[in-house]
Amino acid sequence: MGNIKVNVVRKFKGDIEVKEHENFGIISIRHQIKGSLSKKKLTDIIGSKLPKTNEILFLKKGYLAWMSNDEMWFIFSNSEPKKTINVLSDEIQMLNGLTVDISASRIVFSLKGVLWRNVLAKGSPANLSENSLKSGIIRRTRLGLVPAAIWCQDKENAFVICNRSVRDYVFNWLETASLRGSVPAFH
Amino acid sequence: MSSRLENRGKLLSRKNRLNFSFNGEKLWGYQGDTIASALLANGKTLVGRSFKYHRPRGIVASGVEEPNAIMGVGEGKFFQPNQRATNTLLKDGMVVNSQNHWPSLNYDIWSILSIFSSFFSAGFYYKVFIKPRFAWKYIYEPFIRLSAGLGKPPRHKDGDKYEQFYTHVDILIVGGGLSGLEIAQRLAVSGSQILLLEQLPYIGGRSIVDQTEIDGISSQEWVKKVQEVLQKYPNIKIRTHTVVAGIYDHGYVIANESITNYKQGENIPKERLWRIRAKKIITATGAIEKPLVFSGNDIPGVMLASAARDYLSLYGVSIGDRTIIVTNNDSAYKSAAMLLEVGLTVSLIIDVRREISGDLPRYIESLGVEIKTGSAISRVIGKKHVEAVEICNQAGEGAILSRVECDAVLMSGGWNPVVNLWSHCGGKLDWDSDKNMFVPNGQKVPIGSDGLQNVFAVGSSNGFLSDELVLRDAEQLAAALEERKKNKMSRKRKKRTKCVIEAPTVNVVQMPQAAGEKFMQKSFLDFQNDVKVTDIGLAAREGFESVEHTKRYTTLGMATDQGKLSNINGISILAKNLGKSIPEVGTTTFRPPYIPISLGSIGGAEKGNLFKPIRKTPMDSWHDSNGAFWEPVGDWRRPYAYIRIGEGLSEAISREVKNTRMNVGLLDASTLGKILVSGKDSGKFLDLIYTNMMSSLAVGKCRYGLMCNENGFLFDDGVVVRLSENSYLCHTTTGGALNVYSWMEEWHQTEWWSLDVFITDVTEQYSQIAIVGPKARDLITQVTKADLSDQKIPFMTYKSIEVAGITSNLFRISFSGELSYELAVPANMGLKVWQALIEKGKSLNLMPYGTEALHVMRAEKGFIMIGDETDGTVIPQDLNLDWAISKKKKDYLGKRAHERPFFKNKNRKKLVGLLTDKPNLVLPDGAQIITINHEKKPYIPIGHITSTYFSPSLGYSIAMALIEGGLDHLGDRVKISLAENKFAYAKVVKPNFLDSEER
Repeated sequence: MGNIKVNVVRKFKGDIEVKEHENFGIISIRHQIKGSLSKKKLTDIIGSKLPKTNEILFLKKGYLAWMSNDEMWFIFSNSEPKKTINVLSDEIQMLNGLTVDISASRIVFSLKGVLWRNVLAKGSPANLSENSLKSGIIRRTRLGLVPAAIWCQDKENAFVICNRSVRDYVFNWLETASLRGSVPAFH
Repeated sequence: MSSRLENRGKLLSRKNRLNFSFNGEKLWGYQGDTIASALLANGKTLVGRSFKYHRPRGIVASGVEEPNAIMGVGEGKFFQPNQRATNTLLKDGMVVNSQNHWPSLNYDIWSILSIFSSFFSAGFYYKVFIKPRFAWKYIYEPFIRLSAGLGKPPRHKDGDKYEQFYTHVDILIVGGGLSGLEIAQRLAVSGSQILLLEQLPYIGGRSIVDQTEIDGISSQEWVKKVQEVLQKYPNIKIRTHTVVAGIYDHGYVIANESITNYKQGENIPKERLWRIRAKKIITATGAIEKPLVFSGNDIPGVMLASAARDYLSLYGVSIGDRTIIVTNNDSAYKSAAMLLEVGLTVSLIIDVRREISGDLPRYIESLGVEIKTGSAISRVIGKKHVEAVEICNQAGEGAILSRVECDAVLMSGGWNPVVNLWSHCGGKLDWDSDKNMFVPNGQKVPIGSDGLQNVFAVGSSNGFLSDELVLRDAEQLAAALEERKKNKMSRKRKKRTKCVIEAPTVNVVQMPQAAGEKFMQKSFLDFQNDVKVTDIGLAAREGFESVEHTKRYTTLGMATDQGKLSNINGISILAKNLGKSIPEVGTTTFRPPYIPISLGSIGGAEKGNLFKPIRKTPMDSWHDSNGAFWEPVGDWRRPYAYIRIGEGLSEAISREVKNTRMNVGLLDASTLGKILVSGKDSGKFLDLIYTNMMSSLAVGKCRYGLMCNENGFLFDDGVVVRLSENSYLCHTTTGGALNVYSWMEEWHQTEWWSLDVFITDVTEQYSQIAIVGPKARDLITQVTKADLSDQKIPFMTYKSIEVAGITSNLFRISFSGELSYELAVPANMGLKVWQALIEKGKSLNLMPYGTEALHVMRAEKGFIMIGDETDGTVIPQDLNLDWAISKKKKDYLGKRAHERPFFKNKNRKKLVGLLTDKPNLVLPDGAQIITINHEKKPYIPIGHITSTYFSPSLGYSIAMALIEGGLDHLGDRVKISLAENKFAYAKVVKPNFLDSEER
């Protein structure tokens, strides 16, 4: 999955290849840049610049994604030493921020193939055009009838992240939307 | 009769012959044919019966405006009724059936209704069907259902696939005709993202058929050239077969693509609904030819002049050897030219104008074609097909001057701009009396969210009919959109098309001008709904002055074609009858959709396993393979009970309850909401959200809390755990989790934003397993080394422990009165831990239990359930939960409301328990309760049943109820209404059955 290693639960190949992944880590970092928590301090703790609105940073060992004005997600390989995560958590919490492990609550799907924008456009009202959803952009949107976030890795690769409870629905949705021959080459 | 010509038909692929059937008869056409062109090619001019009088009807038009050729297409699970033959492409093996007749299209018994047509005038149903009252249900309605109507509803589940597609563009151009192409090529250089949608299978619109000269080349070559130019721009996308159905606020556009028209295969969706956000929308939708109104204008063989050209040019179909053309304008002469070119006969041209002065009519005259000016059709002769035409003066009453035999009549009453899309989002119209048409009003325009015009009409849809004016209009709009000065450009402008002199169109309301009742009875306005000139006259006489009321009264323009042909003629007739001008009468409102789109397309891919997302817990697969009888809770599915082989549902529930109370039970409680509230003000925040005091809760302890809305009504409950000094875990109900999360966020963001709090929904992060029963502790000790003694983990506390090597949270809480724990592990470990507990629990007689056993056990103990004991009108005090309301707190949501006298009223309905006189009788849920001494009607209920079960633990039925005065009635007997004059009797008890010895 991009720059981190994850295992594949199931996959489907139609006009694009869809793979379902689990066993990665996600830490939700809640922060309000005020008082003792300055932007610089947060940057130092995380070891990366902070993502701008709708931005997802590709780090060496994972991703740092903008989620809202006071929330970021650090997405990483689950083999990443727990220690690092704990240190991160402690430091942020000491500064009145909050870190929550939400790794098990989400499922990630990787999409491979140049038609991925067209598959997702069948169910997401977000602007998925190349001019809008560029590499390094993440959109919180919906897919079919459930909430989902989409990020663009590059021309041929994108990721969908959704709640664990609807993984079957999202897999079925992606399978239907990418059935061979059904995807228009619009984007 | 109509037939196929050789060497004509631009859209046909003559190599590919397609077989199809029409009403069972085997016919064939070519690839590229529409159903309509294929039927005409086979000489089928009678294609349907009208809605009301069952008159024989033929094909009138060649596009989406067709009112008559509406077919049932396909069979079995691929059957679709009410498909327009004129824009449904023919496919090999297609099964086509005409509609609305019995026993057959040729011999329709219902056509007898036509004889009585004078009794079925406008609004006859309002007059006739009133009396006698019983007759509507038993005579009129069954009769109408039998005789009227269009297609039959499909009997099978739709076998086709559908999908939707979202896109965002800067500019959407609707229509790929001359103006659409011209503006597209002018805006292409701007780099804007442009999408051009064309409803037809090809680009070019009328310029493909009506060949002219543009920029020194033929219009067809010009179209090809522009297409090539546009292909070079990656920012322009063109899609054919896609009709724009509606324009909505904020530049939201719905379009429908007929995919199987051009691509077929197992995975190919039949239709794709486009959901487009466009910053600017350009409607280059062209114009539709108007029919003329004369007696017999609905007889098969009477067709729009432009449609005849389409059939000839695009599909190589002649609609008759001897044709008569009737017109009020020059454009119909194009049909004469084309017919003559292929060697067909134009017997006569009837022109209502006194003289002809245009270039084209003069040319046609020079070829020796007879043109009768100042003339009109008195009536068309023929039953199932045109046989002859009787001719009269337009000025008179219709006295017959001559009779001419013919096979076809081509009519042209001028052109109407397609202003539907312009009007969908608020664009107003003006009547242009010179052109005799409604055109977009340049001042009252549709506006977008920024307050600026966002829909622009161009070309013919803006009222310009000649190629030169269409191109000029497109140039000007392009310049305006690019914010260049209009005038500067038009001054320098050179003509781009060949100069053709066209004489003005004369408005013809009806033909002949003073046609009597006899003629008007057969002069049709709305072909599909059988609305005649006399119907509009009657409506006017009966006082219908508003065009909107007249429409509803007469059903003019209410058919599936939505008045595309009939609207303007109808308004003209109404204006004449009211003695008003057309602008005074005005138009009806154009609303989406422009053409009907299928329900399948609107539903999209959301059917079968995509119809509704089902939320599943990590243990779902285990439940599924272990006999789970599912219950929907919120969007989740939860096991209601686990049914064993040979066991009924109630037996399973009873077994689960008894075993849990005797041994140990396991419940998948993962669906319960879990909301993490952190930050140094989290205690303060929760004090405001809950009725109880949460800031005083010690770290490691749990407290049952209630949430009320600002009106004081109880809406959710659950156990709150203090995880650390600055963080709390709030458990909510399954169905209420998302609401509670939003509720907290809203109050935090809008009212208490200064509080230092973060709220995170961690519902799906954890699998939660309730371990319940006297042997619960024994079970957990088998999977953990942690000390679970009462001293280490007393009731209402929590502890972090290792279970099977996984760090877990163990909460000692109970919803059943038994020794009970809830174990929370990361969701990806849920199944593993569940299976480990099941395995270890075998020696302890462990059984999993479902939601119904949970409900029974909580009711036995008298615990309330949100949604059972509460219904949005219940406050905590009604449920005897005063103890959970803090008296010390300065404020909490609902506190002010709780002070209202209404809530302090002693006679409020409050929670009690009920024990029935007959121990086995389970009272119906929701049944009304009446006082024992209330013997006579009307019975005034004092309350109702909220929960009711047979208690397996106690061996008799139990119920909870809300009754006026509540426990003041302790020991009283009450009556419960079961049915009319049928009652059950019960004693009021405290609502804790398990710990009581009442029975």
